[in-house]
Amino acid sequence: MSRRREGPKLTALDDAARLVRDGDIVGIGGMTLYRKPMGFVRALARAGTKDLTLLAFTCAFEAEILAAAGALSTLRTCYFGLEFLGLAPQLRRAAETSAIRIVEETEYTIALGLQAALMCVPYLPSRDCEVGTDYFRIRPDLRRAPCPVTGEMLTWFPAVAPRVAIIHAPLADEHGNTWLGGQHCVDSQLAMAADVTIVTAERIATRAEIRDAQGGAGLVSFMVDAVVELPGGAHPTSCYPDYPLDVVHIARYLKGARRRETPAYLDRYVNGPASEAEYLARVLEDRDVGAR
Amino acid sequence: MSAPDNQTSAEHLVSAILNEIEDGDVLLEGIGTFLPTSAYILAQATHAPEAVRLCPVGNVFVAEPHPLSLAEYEFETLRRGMYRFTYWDVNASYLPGFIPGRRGKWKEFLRPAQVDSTGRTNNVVIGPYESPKVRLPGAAGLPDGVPVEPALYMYVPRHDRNAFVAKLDFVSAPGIEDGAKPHLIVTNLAVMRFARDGVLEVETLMPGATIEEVRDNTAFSLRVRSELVPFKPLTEHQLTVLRRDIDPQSLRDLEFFVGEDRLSRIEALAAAESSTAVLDRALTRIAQRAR
Repeated sequence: MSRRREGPKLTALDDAARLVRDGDIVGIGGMTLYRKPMGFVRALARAGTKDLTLLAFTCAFEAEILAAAGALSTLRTCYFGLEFLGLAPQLRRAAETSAIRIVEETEYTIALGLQAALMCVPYLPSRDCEVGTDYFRIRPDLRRAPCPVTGEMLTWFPAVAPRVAIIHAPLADEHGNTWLGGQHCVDSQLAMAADVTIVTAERIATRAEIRDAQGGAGLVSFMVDAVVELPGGAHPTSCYPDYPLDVVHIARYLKGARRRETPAYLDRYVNGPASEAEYLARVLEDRDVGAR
Repeated sequence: MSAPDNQTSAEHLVSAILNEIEDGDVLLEGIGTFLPTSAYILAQATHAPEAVRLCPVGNVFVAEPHPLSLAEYEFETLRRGMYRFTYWDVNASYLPGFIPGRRGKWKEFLRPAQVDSTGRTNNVVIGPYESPKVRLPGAAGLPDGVPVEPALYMYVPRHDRNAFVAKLDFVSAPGIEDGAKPHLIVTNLAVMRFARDGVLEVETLMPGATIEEVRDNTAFSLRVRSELVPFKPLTEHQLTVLRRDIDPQSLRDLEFFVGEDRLSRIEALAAAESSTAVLDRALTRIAQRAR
């Protein structure tokens, strides 16, 4: 973990995207279809970033888009799918054809692995997790071994950390104090374990606004290196309390994917728009809001 | 006793799940699994007002009933949540201490892609792990939680030989031999319970199902209880609360649909939700600010 930069951290989206290098391990905040840093993911795809390893508690549309854009080489997660909308077609195909490598995670391998990294220890134990499963075969770094003190058999989880963490939030101030809104998941662990943590926020707020918001700050300034103002930056996933999940947008993407129209989706929504403002204009155009 | 014919297969499963819930239970939800969730909420609205739901969508404990929704389920749980947790809390504090029964009666109805006669389950791949025929989303926290849970509940909306297999393609959660405690499986054909000797036993047939049908659709041998327990459909009151207050869009039916059909259904349901107008207004406002 590197020293954190002092002072205002406001950064333009494209500059922040350049903080991610080809081959990086990128930690993604939020959960499945909620508060995912989609705007940042689109910027990574537009920048042509390659060979990324994604580390996320649960993955959904963000990993699907990165896989479709050819930016992903490895996925480390305990779930990748689109919840009630079904399997993620691009990820599924990439996994079945070994176009991307899947490192099979569980909730513990990520939550305890991140904590081990934060504690600067190589492994953290639990009692009987994974006993009787095939995980030990496909994850040789996951170990069943006795407690060195008492001799009790325990399951040992290796430390894991991203180099860069990306977290989307409703509010952040220019110093990096961040209000997460809902669903904290493992975001503070990701932010602290990463060498570089980037927050994209719906709105840049004052420190007082963040202090007074429900639950207070989820990330404190020292945990954050760069802050990008990015309205609509979670769309089509949700950003509580600002906007709900765009079910129709993702359902239409999936219908298109069944007809092999994913390249057209990427043209329209990822590579086509010159900016996220233009992305939002296209989303509104296709939602046909005026007609309702 | 015969079930009223006006109940759907999903409602039969809801009824069977509801029967297992006691007041004061802590109910673990899955992600995007509206069928068991509708049963959990129905329990809170009827005989189990003290039951608490652990909602992964929202990362909250919710202690009250409310309607299901596709786009705004997260907003509902967050607005009604009485305690917000992180997944570090869940994995480091609740799972090791609470699930083995030290605190609270925890219940989770999980949906296996494959299950065998000893209650082992697979939610990772169909076919060999290294070159899968179907890559599934993954088993999330099941390999961590199942080994320590005091009793394991499962549901399978489509009871067939793809789900009830002789041999799993991958073991993502253990069964009896490795110390896990599988207890009950609810399907569209039957309610089956693991007997004291560890053998899976057909206890109840769903309305219209036969023993032959259950056997034909299971790739391992089943024991049948000498006296079957008659199926108990939802009461008139339970049915009304479910259909009118908790799940008026019938999201509980979604797990029975696949492919394009399912997507079209979801798209139509979502477009008709009030959340669509909420999203329209929010995106319009945001787009103006972003320009």
